[in-house]
Amino acid sequence: MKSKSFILAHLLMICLLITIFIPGAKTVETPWAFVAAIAIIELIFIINMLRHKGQNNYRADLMILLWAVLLIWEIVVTKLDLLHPVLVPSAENVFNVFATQYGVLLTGILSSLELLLIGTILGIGLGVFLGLIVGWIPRLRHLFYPIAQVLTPIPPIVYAPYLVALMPSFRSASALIIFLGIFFPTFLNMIIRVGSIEKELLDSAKAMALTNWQMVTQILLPYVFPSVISGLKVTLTTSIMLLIFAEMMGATSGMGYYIINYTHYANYTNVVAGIILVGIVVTILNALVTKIQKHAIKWR
Amino acid sequence: MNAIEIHGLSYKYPGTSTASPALNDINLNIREGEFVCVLGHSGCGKTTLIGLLAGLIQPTSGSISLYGQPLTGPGTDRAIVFQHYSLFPWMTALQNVRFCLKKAQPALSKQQAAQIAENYLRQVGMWDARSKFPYQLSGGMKQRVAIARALAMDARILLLDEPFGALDAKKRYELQRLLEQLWLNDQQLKTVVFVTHDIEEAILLADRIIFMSPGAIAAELDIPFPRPRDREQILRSASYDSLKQKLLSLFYLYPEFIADEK
Repeated sequence: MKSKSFILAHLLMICLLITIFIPGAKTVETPWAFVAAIAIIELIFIINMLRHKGQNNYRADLMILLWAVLLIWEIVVTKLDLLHPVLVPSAENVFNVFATQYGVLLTGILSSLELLLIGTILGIGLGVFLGLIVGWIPRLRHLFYPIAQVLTPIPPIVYAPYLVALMPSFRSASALIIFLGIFFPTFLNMIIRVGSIEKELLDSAKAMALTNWQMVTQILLPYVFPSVISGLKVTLTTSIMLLIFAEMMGATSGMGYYIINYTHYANYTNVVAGIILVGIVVTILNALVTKIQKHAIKWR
Repeated sequence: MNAIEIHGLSYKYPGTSTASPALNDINLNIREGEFVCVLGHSGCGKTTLIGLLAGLIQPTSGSISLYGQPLTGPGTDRAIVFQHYSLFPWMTALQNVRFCLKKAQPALSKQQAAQIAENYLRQVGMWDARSKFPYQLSGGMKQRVAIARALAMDARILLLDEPFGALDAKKRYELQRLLEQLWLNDQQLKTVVFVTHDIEEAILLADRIIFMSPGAIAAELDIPFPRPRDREQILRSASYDSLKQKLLSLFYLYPEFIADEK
């Protein structure tokens, strides 16, 4: 069964490759970037199959689906030219963007990642730290818990345009949007988590007559650490959404800017390439987070 | 000398009516080196008493002195073992012992601390499992580590809140014997307040049993058996039966306290 779908996936891939070189209704810049992309995908697929050999996995099914989608795209757009020529670009041209504009795209990724990391790390770090302090000290909790409850549900997108106007530079505004979007949910979550520690565990710690500082850094921080780590995926999704949104608001660099910029020029070839790029970057970041989650916590 | 002196101690949970105090005018003296078991139904205020002795909660009125000094809050002169989550789950068995040891005796050198931690973990038979995290240990093993941790702190008072309540019978016997052994062999005279609802456990361990009716001390019983105690021998003795009958009748005499719903 497994080998059947494996063979089917490769039949589809061969079909796709043959189709690419059959002359079609539409002329394309060059098919080679697309072919290279197919080769890279195939390579990743094979490596994955070999690494997880013996497991009952469904990677071949995934490949069948992917090759089928690409094949349909290729036939419908390039070979038969059935769709709107401006709105739906050909696969060849989309992948060719990666080959011709890799410099711009790479700078865009780096610019985006910088904002993403600054905003997310500061947001998580300060959110956890201040949340624990506020959650632990009753007076601060009574003051800030209601405030956090009011502020957290406000989507940062609402005040993003205002922040862009308020902040000295666009980049600082973007970083602040991501920071606030991550900070408030983390902050609120930490206050709640401190309130829900098992009573015996908390009493064991209290009985050691720890200072507030020791309590926060030596008891509460390790206690909440797993939940922070397991929340990283959701956090990452939020930050990327805010990042791309912020970049679409008037940035001069980054992946979001790239996409919105070419949207304005109705150059949808580059827009689709940009969307695919965001997908690739997010997937890699997600894989990194999964790795971190696997190794970060040894105690459960 | 009295290790613990309790005068007119009352505690009322915040927000409850005055008709049902968790503890009402408790007077109790515990001698240094005494092993006291506090026995009673659940909800009778046993755990509240431990919380007050640990300094985790403040009495509504009355006072507690430890070795002549008024109790003001938590401190490492007292070590606590709870029924479930005594150990910090993010630390290994050894790290748990070392952490509390360091807090209780910051003056110790690293080598001395390491030696003390090893000594107690060996005594409870957990040295080989020192690198295990609590989630990797069974309930009985966790309580062994918790006991090692409490003893390593060298606190003069041990507060044990149903420490063996979640264990099966065999493990409970083993740990009861281990606890008595460690307590008897310790260089320093340690005072123990042991909360339980198990009559047999109280008789086997205690020098004196304090029986609590809801909120108050209903009876005190001295347990005369010599130490170290031989479980089999005690269970077969006539005086064990009469003690057990006495305590059982107390359980029937003072029915379980049911908090009025508000």
